[in-house]
Amino acid sequence: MTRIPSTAYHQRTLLDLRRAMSQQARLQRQLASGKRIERPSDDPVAAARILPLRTDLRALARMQDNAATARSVLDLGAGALDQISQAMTRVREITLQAANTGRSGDDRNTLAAEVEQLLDQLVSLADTQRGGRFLFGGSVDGTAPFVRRDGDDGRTRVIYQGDSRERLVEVGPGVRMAVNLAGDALFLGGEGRGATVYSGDTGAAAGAPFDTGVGTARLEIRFAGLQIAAGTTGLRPGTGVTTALGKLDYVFTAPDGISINGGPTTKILGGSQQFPVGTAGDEISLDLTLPISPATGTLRADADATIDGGETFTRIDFTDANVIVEDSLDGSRLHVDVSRLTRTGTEEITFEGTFDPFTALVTVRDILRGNGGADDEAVRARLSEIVGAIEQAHDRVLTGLQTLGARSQGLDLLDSRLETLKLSDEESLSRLEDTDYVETIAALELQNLAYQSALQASARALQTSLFDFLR
Amino acid sequence: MSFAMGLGASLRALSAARLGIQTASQNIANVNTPGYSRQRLLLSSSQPYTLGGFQVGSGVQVADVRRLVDEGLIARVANQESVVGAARVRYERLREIEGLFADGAGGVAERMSELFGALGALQSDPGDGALRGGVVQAGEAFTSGLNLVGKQLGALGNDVFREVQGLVAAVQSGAQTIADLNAEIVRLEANGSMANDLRDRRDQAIRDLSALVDVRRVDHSSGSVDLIVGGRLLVAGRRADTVQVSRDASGATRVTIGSNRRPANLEGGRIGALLELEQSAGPAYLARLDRLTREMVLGFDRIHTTGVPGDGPFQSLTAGYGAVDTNGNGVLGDELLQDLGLPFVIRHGELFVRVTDRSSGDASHHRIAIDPSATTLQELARDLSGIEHLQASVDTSGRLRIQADQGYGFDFAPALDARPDPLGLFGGAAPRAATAGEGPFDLNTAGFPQTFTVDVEGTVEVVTFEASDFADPARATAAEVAAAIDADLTRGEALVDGDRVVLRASGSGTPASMTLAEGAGSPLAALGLPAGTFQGQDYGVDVRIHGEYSGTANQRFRFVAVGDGEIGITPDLQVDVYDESGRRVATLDVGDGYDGSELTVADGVRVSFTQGAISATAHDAFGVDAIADPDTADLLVGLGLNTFFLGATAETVRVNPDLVADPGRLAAGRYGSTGDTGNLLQFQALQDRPSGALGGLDLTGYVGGLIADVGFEAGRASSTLETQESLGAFLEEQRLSISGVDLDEEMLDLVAWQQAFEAASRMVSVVQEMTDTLLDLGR
Repeated sequence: MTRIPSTAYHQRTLLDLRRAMSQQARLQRQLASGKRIERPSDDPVAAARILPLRTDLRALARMQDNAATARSVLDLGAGALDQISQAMTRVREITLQAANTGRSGDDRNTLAAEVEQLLDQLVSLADTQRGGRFLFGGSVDGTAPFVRRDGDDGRTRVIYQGDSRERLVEVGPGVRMAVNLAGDALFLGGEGRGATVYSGDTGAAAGAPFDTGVGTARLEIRFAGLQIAAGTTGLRPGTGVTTALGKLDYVFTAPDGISINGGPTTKILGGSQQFPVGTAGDEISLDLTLPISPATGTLRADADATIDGGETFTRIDFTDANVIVEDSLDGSRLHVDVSRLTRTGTEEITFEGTFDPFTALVTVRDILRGNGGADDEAVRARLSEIVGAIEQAHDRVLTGLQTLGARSQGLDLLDSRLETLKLSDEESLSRLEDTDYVETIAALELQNLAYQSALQASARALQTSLFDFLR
Repeated sequence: MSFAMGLGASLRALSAARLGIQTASQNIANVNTPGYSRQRLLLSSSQPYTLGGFQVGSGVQVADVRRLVDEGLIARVANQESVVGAARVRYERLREIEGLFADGAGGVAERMSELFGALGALQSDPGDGALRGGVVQAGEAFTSGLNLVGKQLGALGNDVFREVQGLVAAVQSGAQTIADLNAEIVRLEANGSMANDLRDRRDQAIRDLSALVDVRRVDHSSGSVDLIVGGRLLVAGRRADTVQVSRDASGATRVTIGSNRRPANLEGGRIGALLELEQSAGPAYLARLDRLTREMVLGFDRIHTTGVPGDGPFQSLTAGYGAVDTNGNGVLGDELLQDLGLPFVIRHGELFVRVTDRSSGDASHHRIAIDPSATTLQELARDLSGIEHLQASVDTSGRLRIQADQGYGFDFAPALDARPDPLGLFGGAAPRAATAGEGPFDLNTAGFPQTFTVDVEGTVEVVTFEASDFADPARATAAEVAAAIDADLTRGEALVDGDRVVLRASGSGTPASMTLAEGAGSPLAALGLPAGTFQGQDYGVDVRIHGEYSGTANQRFRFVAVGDGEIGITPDLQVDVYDESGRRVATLDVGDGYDGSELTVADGVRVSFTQGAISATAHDAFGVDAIADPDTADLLVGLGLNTFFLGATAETVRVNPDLVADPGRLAAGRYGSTGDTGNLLQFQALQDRPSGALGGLDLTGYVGGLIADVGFEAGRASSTLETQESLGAFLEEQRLSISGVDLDEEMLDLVAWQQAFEAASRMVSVVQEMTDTLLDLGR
């Protein structure tokens, strides 16, 4: 039989009680903290799995935040587009009204003022901001994307200063959504560009198909000087007005008659004098001294062209059929075929299919104001024409509105998906790290019972000793 | 029979009983003395004497007072003490490490995910200063967390040295105690008796020593004990050797015993475990944390360095790391890029630098080849200075500094150059002609001098090549050819485009023209320069690149005119596009019907042209760099240019101070506009991207694995400690079952001795009565 001395008994009892105590304390801590795992060693596998779950949860929360912000940006954008759409509807009404009923100039001016007001409203809507960031500037959100510039020629241009980039935000696992619509695609979309139509009688025509202007433009062609072949005597430019342009053949008929480009032979009086050119009513101002030698030759009347109201000019010297005229205000380029350009004047130019809301409004306003000096009938005709352009621009805005709406809807779906993912992650996390109260409390009860019994038993056993029975 | 004899036996019995009571009381007194072994009186009957032919007993005699011990068990208990000591140290240390990795708000993993969270939040408004500051602060919290854990893991090594120092002092004094006890025991036992209590004390001292370090004992018949520790004799009889602690060159703790200078191989016990952990646990986890840091910094900064800050391109940028004068010649930066002593490795690859004209917004890319085994830092600075509008130098602290001219800025962004042909080499306004192929050119066949003429609007100039113009005429480089032509040309210039040479007249417009004609030994054919007349035009072709490159490798697309004619007018005019390997990737129709719209090239790249004439005869062509990774050499990360972090170890990593000072420097975008989220999305992808260096795990997974391993090891240490403690308790119980004092037992002994004493006393009184009776008889 093993001898168990009292010292050994003491030590064993102490060890057992200590162990029971620490078990109990651990269970108690689990209950108090609600966490099953205090340190990785409590359950290393779970500890390793908890980490990515927490990271996931954090990412999901962030995506939800981003989605919420994205939604408010989208909604704000949609609101702005909605207002723009309303403004467009009003402009269409005004245009139809003005086109269908005879109106006096005063009435038109009132309408023009309203359109002007709508234009300002439109620009400020296109420059909608949220917390100091512009919504429609692509990735350039620190400066206003649309800037209104009024040229000296009375034409108004709205210039886009943003870019075409989308601002992508991660709104779900692997889901990136553009929270913006770049203003150029939304308002200025150039895909529908059609022909460039010239209306005027200068003879200038559409050149290479690379025009970048939008809406309408006014090409002004002025006389820029006479080029006279070297060795020609008796021929000098006059001080009068020259309206004819291009290469002009003259025939001098002695003693004092001259015919230019097949026009009637006119008597030379000396000094600066107007001469008819051809038969279309164009004129040239020449200062002729008799006799003129050689008797037949060619003059060249050069031209200056501008589409920015005279800010900048492009010289046309008829050596090249294709001339590019640049608008210094918005940087757009007009390609003009000058091979049949015969006289000075103004060409009203329409870039078909390019009307954005701004140009549509500007055009309507300018027609109503009567810029260009057309008669009542012409004004009404032009207004009728422009209605189509307004509708086209309006459609683009509505498409943008639809896109934003669809994205907002997508966010709705996504949000419920994120919520599901979050719940499932939270559930897994809870299973891994949270205390199972029922189980733990039961275990604690059991442990407690065992501990108490051990204490009682030891107390009894340790109390009794032979000393108690020896007298 | 003599009464005296009876009295003598009684006397012996009395004295034995007294000794018995004394032994019992000694046992009772020492019931709680550690290491005490209960003692037992060894009795035998004393020498009998012969009386009338009979052997008559003479009573009892005390043979010895003996302690009750099992020597083998004592050795095993001591041994177990050593195992438990080691297990306890391991448990304590690992619990400490575990505490460092336990993930609360201050955990490294938590802070890492907070950093990524801050970057995610910035997506909503990349230009917002507060959100940018939030990212930088989250970065600082992450690095300071790493620093803390790194420092503490490193400090564990220092603690080991200090702790071992203290423990060795205890070993020394223990060894001395044992040696002293040896001397005493040998002296006392020389007369044959057992020095019980001294032996108990010595056993206890050996046991205490075993808790510190594994001890082997050798018992001698003289009663002396020798102790062997780590293969060295620590205690030999009455002599204890000195134990000393020191640190070797690598900082590892070394323990030497006696005069032997070689470190003793200490195992087991607290000291053995500490020495083992100094080499394993702390450093191993620190190494893994360092690897995490490295991968994080590398991955993060590969993205960050090639991004553009919110406020646009840089005016100047200074490297975060200074070159070290590794060749010791006192000159900084004359070492190769691979020898700069930098924390990250610069690889063989290329760097694209983008220079932006701030007024026009035009940007152009410049490619610099990086060969870390052939280029020095100074040479790199020179290469960078070779880029127009940029200057680079190495400052006095060995840092590379890049600066842009006023009105220009630079960055390392991959965005496509919107206007890839600023020189007008493709349908430009000036008359031009280019070599058909790329250099080097083989000029050898014709012999020297070689001449051709260039006629620019009536002024004829003769270009002469001398053999001395070229390092190797059989392999004349484009630069050499251009220089040789330029030297003879006043009304035009020779440009290098890639490895092509382009001749361009100085005039432009419709009347401008340039005629190339063969001269004596003409090199035109060898160069692939076309002879003939080339016209200028009023409007050069304006080439625009659109879109974003989506390919995975860096690429250079070459656009080559097919046929001569006017874009948008000439029927069937085409432009072929080739990739770097010479494969044709697209043929673009730019003839009649083309209206300037964007044409798809490949991998997200689109191009548009405007009006103008292009000429295949003049070899009109241009190139576009399509960049997937602007820094395949990791040069920016290596030098610390435009990085988010600096440092490559857990202890030293920090957020770039430039960023802390100005969170606007955070490169959230890839293009430079305020709302650009390009880089932020890349950071997000980094978090979940598996890395080869991390064993195929992503960053979070790696930290998770690290924490799980710490947990496993700490859990194992805890259960080992428990098991070994139980075993120790069991052995101790066994020892006690032999040597332990049982009070009940002693009580019984006491009663027995008391009764024996009473009986012997009774015997004395019996003898006395008998003597009295006899004396009365004689009266």
